[in-house]
Amino acid sequence: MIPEAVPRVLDHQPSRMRRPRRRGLPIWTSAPVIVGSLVLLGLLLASLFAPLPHDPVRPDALSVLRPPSWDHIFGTDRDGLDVFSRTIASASRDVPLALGGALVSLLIGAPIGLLVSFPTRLADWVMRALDLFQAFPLVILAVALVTLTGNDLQNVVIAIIIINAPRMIRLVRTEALVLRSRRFVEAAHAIGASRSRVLFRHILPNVTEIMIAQTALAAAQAIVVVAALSFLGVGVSPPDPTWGLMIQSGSQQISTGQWWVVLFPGLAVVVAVSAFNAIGRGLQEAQR
Amino acid sequence: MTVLLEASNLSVNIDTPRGDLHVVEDVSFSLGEGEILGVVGESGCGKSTTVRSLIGLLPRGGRVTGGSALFDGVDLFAQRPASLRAIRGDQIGFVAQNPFGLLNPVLPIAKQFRTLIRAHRGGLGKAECASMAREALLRTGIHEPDRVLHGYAHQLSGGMAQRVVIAMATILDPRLLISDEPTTALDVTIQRQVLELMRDVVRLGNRSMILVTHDLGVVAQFCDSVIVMYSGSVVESGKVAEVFTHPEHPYTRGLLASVPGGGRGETLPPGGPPARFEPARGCQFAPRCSRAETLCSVEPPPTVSSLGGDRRVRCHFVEIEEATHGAPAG
Amino acid sequence: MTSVDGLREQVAAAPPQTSGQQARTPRSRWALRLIVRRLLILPPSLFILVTLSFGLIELIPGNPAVAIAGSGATHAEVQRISTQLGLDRPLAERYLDYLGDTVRGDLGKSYFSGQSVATELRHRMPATLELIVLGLALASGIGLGLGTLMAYRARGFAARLSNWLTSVLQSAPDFLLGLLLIYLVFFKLGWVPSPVGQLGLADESVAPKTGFMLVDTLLAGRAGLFASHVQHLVLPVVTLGLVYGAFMARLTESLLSKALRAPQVEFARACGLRERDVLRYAVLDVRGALLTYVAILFGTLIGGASILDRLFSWQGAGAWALDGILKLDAPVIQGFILAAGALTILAYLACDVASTLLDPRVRDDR
Repeated sequence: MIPEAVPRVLDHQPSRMRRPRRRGLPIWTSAPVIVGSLVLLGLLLASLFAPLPHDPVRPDALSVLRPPSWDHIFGTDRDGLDVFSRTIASASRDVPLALGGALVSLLIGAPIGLLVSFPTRLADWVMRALDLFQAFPLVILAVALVTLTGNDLQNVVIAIIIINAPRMIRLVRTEALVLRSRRFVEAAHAIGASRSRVLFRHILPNVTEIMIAQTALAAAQAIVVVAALSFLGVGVSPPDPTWGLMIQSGSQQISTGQWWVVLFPGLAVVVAVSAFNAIGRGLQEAQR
Repeated sequence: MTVLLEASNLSVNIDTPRGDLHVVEDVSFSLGEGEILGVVGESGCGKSTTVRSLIGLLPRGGRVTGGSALFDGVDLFAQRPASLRAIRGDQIGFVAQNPFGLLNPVLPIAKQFRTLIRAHRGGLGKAECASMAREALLRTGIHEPDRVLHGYAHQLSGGMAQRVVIAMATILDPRLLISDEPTTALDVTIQRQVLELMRDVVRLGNRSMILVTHDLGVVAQFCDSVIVMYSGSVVESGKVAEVFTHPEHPYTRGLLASVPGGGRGETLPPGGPPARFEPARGCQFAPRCSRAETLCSVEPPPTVSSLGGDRRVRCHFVEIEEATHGAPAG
Repeated sequence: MTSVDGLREQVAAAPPQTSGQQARTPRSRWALRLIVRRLLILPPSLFILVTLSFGLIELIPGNPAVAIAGSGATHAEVQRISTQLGLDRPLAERYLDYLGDTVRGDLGKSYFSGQSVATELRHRMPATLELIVLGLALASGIGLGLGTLMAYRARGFAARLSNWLTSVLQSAPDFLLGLLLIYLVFFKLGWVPSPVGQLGLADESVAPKTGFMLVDTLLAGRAGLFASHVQHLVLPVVTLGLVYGAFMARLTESLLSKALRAPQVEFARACGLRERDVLRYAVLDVRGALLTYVAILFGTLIGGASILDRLFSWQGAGAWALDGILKLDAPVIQGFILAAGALTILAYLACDVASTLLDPRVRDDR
């Protein structure tokens, strides 16, 4: 019913012609992958261990909405909280949450994707259900679920899964379908290898790298989802900082010219997203 | 016979992440008016790149690094992109394999003809373009040109599509037709008809043709002269009758012997032309050659031209034999 | 010439593969048939959507009656509200009631404001649609332009610049970009009025006829209001255009650079076609996929416009639905999911029909 209505043109394009990789270097040694990983690691370590110039959750009523200065290099917000300290401290919530959400999406999506790559009636139904799912307003759905399951930051993971797991299923299925028509898989079938053997020995190893790259891209998107939800006030518990919450608190002063409260956490989001994207794209490039 | 195309010392490099790939190196040949020249060799030996470089259609990163190609007195490599564009399609036609891939899938055939004609003869009306297209299609043996013109590429059969492609390539009466494996994607039964059609179109208009193929039978039947390429270089060239009856280069001999039931002597050992990131040092064929000696992998082979006519062979042994036995008569 | 005789037989034996009949049916009638056939899919799809959204709300823990009554309410009060809202009736009964009401166009009333959900949607959805359609139009323009530039002149300076720019824009959440634009364009440059909604605070609104304020202000002959509305549209539309334009540009670039390496483009060049025609051939090749992407973005934005609605104080359906969710206002949530889902499915249908009409290959397949 629905499936016909939903065009499939944009389903992930299978990566054809996978040439043997350059010998010697493993794929994660490409420059964007290394740089991206270092940036994220640096951000995370700084938020966990680095000494911050001010307490990120203790307001200072005497310095409210101060522009960037030597004391407050990113300025302060309307409660007198130090934007720099809060921006750094937020990384310990935003980044693990996004990465965790992406990983859980992978753990849920990949096995289903592999399963539905076998032409069974169940597989048909799963794909139809996914198509119908596309018609749901996902953000609203995600907000609803997080709100109703207790409005905890941890539950934002559910929103990430809702958005990313279907994509992961499609991707893994498409790749597996391509692989299944390849010679070596046909050969394995022909010499009588069992279904599960084909799946685990021949198909899974060949989609692993693609799945890892996709997980990084999903994490990039998850950073935005986390920021968007906490911008809407979903799943946050002030004054604990997250980038989205910081941007939200600054958004009320942007029309009156206090740009720093929004800009710096915003830049942090851009940096984190770019870093995850760089890792994902770098891994994809390396596979080509 | 007037020379229409004279390519000298043509070299092409392709810029890859691993360095410059030397795809074509020091290739020279000439093509007379009304002549059909075959270019043969295994896949990856640089045949396609050679002919594509003539009309500036190299893949991304490819560039001509040396040599000249005089077409009717004009050096094709010295042309600005705009004037080369004006030559393509108008004076030099081009046909490649897989006709379905060549036609635009979403435009009616008539519209594609019109775009092509107007690119060279601006200001022609719709009706004039249509009548030109109709004529060209009739020439290629399509009897209901209107039906084809109003349809789309996917509505044609393979043979029909290739005929439409040939009609497009020859509609402006080019003096040279370059065809790169024109029949590879077609059914065996249709291959012959398409080749015969191309030959007739060329012969009737006193045009010339370069026919790239890996099928020696096709060369024997349709070409006047031939160049045999290996790993980016010409190893042997000359009139088809001479080259095929008395092949001198071990590679040519191997190729001929590989034709089923076609020849005597040793067939080619497995393998293929190597990809090269440096200019050739010795003979590229040496690793696969049964006669190869130390000399072959060190010294580049000389071009032997003393065999008479426009015969050329690049091989150390041919040179040595020529020196000991003297030039054969005629 | 023997060969030509041979050809004759060959041609006679293998006529063009199509019936040629479809090509001769008038295009418009044929298109109409296709659209009708596609529209038949809509009712069952909506049925599933309604059922799912109803089930979803039911499955969610938490009693709206408690939320409405407030934390200090007694058990009796909660009971009373439950009865009043009909929440104490069996699930199946409520589901059938809901289905029946939905078919009649009655989507219930908000638990809190008591407003009819259908009326609210009718008033608010046009405002959201206005934003999304204009934003997507701008995004398509930006995306096609930059994407073509990046694919066609891959090594040029402008291409590198836009490559960098689109990467950054892709990494920025839309609300962040919106805020920065408010700072830059409103506060610093003062080019647009303050982002307080569809109109300025002092503007007196017109009575909604179509709900699309661009149309309504013109129908009412209020040129001043129309201009004010256009000015208020600038920031949100530019925000949408830039963010989703970057995504479009990326997709255009990857599709087009592949299309530009395709044999048909090489043949077009070999025939000496002008470069603009060569480029046109390549773009024709990818337009179906781009169209699909626009439809997908439309679906995403219908559900996701809540944030921008809130940011620009837009009286759209998104912000309204968001409030409904935070207050557990089930009829509002269900109504919005239904409306957004229906619009998304309609967009997919339109895209499907359009790409079928545009591509003769698919056309003959059906």
